[in-house]
Amino acid sequence: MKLYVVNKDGNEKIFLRTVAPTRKALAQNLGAKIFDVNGKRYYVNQVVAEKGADNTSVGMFLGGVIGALGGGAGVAAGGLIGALLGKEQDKKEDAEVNEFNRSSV
Amino acid sequence: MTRKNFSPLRFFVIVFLLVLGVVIFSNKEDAKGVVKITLESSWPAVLIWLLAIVGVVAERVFTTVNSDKQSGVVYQSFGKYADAIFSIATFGFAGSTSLALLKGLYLQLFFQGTYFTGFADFDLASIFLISSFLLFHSTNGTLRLIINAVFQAEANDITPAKT
Repeated sequence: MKLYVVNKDGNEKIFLRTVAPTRKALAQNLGAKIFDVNGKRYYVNQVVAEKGADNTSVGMFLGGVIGALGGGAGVAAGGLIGALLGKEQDKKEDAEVNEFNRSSV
Repeated sequence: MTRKNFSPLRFFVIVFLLVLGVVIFSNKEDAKGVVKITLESSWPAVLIWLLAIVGVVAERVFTTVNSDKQSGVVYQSFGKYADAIFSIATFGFAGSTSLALLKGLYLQLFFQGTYFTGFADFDLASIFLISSFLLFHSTNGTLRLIINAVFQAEANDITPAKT
């Protein structure tokens, strides 16, 4: 999960080097509801979360490569199992993103 | 599928696995030989340990450690350096040991080696399933650490505002 604010000068995303499950937790970690990034001031309520890596693709790739030990069918089976495991991680991350974006300070 | 939903990474992985599957299927004996040579070399284990070391170090250096990790027993009892060493050992041993077990199973099954004597078929199938999952878990975990570190490399530091 990545946290960002939208730049005040335009629509560019500024990603933040911090992690927190909710906006309230982020404010607690910071010790303030207002913070500075690149010389500009933002409120914790302006922070938005989005998903990070595509876990399904990574899982499918690794599962397929490990499955290659079992031949052509192993690649297919390993890729499928890896994709399913990765998809579960994606679902978990989606839930974390939604929890953060629904939270308030 | 709209252009916005198109994932180049997912497309690449599917094409790669299709090509890999077709190549292995159409050259079974050659593929077995390549897998045997790869497994018998030390490179897969070296790669797993390098991934573990690079992944954990990159995570600790380039990313913010989340509160879940800070509440871990090793982190709280022995500090962040011991936690990092423990994480590297966990990923490294899980990956290299599961790979060694898979190598033994592969050579016994396809090349008539004798690595597991006195094991029934059910036991061998169990070893295969658990080892495959452990190898997946180890490499997937370390790759995720590296991906997260790369994502956070473009991130900006934030400081609480002075009111």
